[in-house]
Amino acid sequence: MPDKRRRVVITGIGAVTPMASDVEGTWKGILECRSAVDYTTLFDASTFPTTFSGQVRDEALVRQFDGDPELKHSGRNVRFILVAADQAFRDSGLDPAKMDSRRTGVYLGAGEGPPDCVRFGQLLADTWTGTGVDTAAFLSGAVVSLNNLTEVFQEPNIAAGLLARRYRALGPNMTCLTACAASSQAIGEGTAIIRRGDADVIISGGTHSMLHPFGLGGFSLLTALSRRNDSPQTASRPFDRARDGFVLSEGAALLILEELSRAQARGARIYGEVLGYGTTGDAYRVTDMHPEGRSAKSAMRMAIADAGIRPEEVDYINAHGTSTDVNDRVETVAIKEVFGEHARRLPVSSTKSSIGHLIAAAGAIEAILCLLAIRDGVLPPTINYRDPDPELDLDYVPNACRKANVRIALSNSFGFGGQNVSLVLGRYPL
Amino acid sequence: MPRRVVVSGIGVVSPLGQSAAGHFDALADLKCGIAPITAFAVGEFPVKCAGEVRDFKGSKFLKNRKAIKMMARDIQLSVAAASLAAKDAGIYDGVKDPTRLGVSMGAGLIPTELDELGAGVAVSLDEAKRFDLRKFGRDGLANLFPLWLLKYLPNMLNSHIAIEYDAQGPNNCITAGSASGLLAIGEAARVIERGDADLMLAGAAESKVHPLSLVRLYLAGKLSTAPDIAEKGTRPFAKGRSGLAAAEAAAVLVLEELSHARARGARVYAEFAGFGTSCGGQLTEDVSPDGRAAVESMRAALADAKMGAGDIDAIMANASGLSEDESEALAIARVMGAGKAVTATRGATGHSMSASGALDAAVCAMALEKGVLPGTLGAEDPGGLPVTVVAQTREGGLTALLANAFSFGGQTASAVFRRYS
Repeated sequence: MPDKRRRVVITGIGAVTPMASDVEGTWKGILECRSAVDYTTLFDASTFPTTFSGQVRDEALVRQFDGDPELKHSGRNVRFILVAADQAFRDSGLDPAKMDSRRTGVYLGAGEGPPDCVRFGQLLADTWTGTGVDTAAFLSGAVVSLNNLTEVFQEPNIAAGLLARRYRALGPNMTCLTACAASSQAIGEGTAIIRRGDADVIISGGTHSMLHPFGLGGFSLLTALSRRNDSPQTASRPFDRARDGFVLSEGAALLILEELSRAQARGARIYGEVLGYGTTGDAYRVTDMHPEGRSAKSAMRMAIADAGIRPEEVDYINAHGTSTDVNDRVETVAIKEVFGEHARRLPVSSTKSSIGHLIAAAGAIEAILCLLAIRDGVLPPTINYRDPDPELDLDYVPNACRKANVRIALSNSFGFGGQNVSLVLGRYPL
Repeated sequence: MPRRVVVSGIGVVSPLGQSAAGHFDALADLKCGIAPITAFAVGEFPVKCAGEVRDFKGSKFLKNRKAIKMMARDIQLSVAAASLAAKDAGIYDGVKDPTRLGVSMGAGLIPTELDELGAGVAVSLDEAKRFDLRKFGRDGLANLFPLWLLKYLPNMLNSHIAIEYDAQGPNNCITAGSASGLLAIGEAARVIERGDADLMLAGAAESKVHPLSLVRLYLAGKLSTAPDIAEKGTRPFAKGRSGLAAAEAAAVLVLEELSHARARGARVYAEFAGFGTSCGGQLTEDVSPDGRAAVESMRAALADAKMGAGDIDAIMANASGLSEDESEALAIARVMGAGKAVTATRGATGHSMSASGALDAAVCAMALEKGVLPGTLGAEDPGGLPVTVVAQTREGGLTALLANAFSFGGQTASAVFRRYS
């Protein structure tokens, strides 16, 4: 049994998303039913099967690190999370200089940094023999043309290391990369670390940018992305009959997880409590979800059991809701089965309709949006919901935000390959 | 009563062998797994040797052999080690309740096979032979394998293993450089302790025997070009060390809750007794000069095991032949006192990064069961470092070992394994 004597609350949040370079701007845009999706301008994507994305448009935010001798080699993912972490720390009122370093840790769901596409691609081109790459020529070319730190910054663990250094966090330090479930997993496992007593504060969340030619190209090949190139703003339409794929986005979201009594002792503002966490594997196919959502259901049930609540107590679900045919159908079926009669009254929305899919960072931003729904008593909408799919008949909070008393929210994150994570977040005090 | 975690199965695929026993025996015999690279031509590149898994055929370890085409080398190595571990633990044909069997793997940044992406790039050049992204979007993509992206996602180690063994329980993939394998094992133990699973397939796999990985390590100044590397290895802690050798390997442990293992009469290698992690936050060294994070993770692992420094017979060190080996030696001395026995396997196997800590976890469990501590290939005078490098394989009297695995990037992991009797 999990040790429930130590409880975990969220006392600081930060985010950089395609909608805005902070949490409140992102929340406002979502409640106003805006779409953060537009044509990709980071590189010329006009010939790709999908020409649009959820790109972070704040270039000044990205460029602020260009003068730093070390960080100038970092990718967008690293820059996003450094900004989000600053916001979250300021928001939390914690002073890293006064914290017990050994009791502060980091658990991120972080993606790899963007590759050096142009230089790497050119190397492959220059060493292509007609049937394969001449590896000897590649090696001798690469030592000249590739940059050490640019390669180093592609490692997914760099962000967690930099945060540890910046905030003097000498406690447990982890990075997980369970595809689209990664940062939800990080929040769940980070909570487990505090509950167990191995840390009092965990800097958690995620960051990712796959908005580069190989990332956009790779997802296009999987036919997972929407190709609604004539209307980017309406491309992400979770649960709608005409949904045709997800929208690739980038960004970071960061949450300060803190042991409850410590947060109370310092009079911290508490956004909510991590009540429950579930993690399961589909064990089905690497390309498809299990058709009945077998392990998606067990992840939700596990999180609900961990929270010690009844399913009927869940007031809102922030769905994984990618806008792909299969996910939205299977997730709907799974929710109906887990919640039974309650599913008919249970609002379920996908904020990916507004901001797209932040991949490894998706779960963390969606957890933050759940906390804001609890704080403000407002449900974020599923926008672009126009043509109901007859099989998909839940209350998707279509096209307008809605006032609601939210005590408990559940957030789903399902990764490619069958990684399923559910989090239960509650108001504090309930 | 806290739930205790034991090792009840081991699978290893390494440059020293394609079985756990083969790997262990070769280490104990002080064999060297580093040899001239055969996987691809290296030409004038100054590094000629690596720790390769020769004659490896991933499909023979798979129930669904067709899946092999969706697997990068790292993934193939991981499913092979998982297969060996599952057989060893007697769970190859499944477990009673698949929702109580989970997967926790450490993985690296898996690079694309050059020929695969090259085929797409080669048709995407402008008239001056420059790589043209517009052409890549229009023509290049069509020349790539449709599932190209899935072949290289780190969590695909987990996915394929979960599918092969119907593991529907908790599933996590740790990507923390060379600390990944030991961190993944530690996280798996936590999952069992807190009651979310009874069995976990836990370990890691990585292949650094890849042109891009070699270049990255070379640019970072990590690779040794010593001429005697194929006989003496990379000589961790030795005065004459000159860097590491890239390698590839996989190791998977079956971790199991003690009473569950007893009830089914499983063979128990050792107990997973303690785990600690920290982070120094440096970018390009595996131990920071002050060694603070290494000290913290070792202390945390000892505290978690409720053991003192004197209870540890020897350290399975992270040392691989880098200059940073000195910082690890100093950190070990701070925690354990001067002159602690250390043995280091990365000199003989080469450095398989993510997999390295999992390999050492496997070696610890086998060493405790057999009562044999493998020596360190190429051990020589550590030049004033405050540790005692175990040169010759020793028999008898082992009760507990502590393994270290540290990443470039600063993450440190330490785990204590205790003899089970």
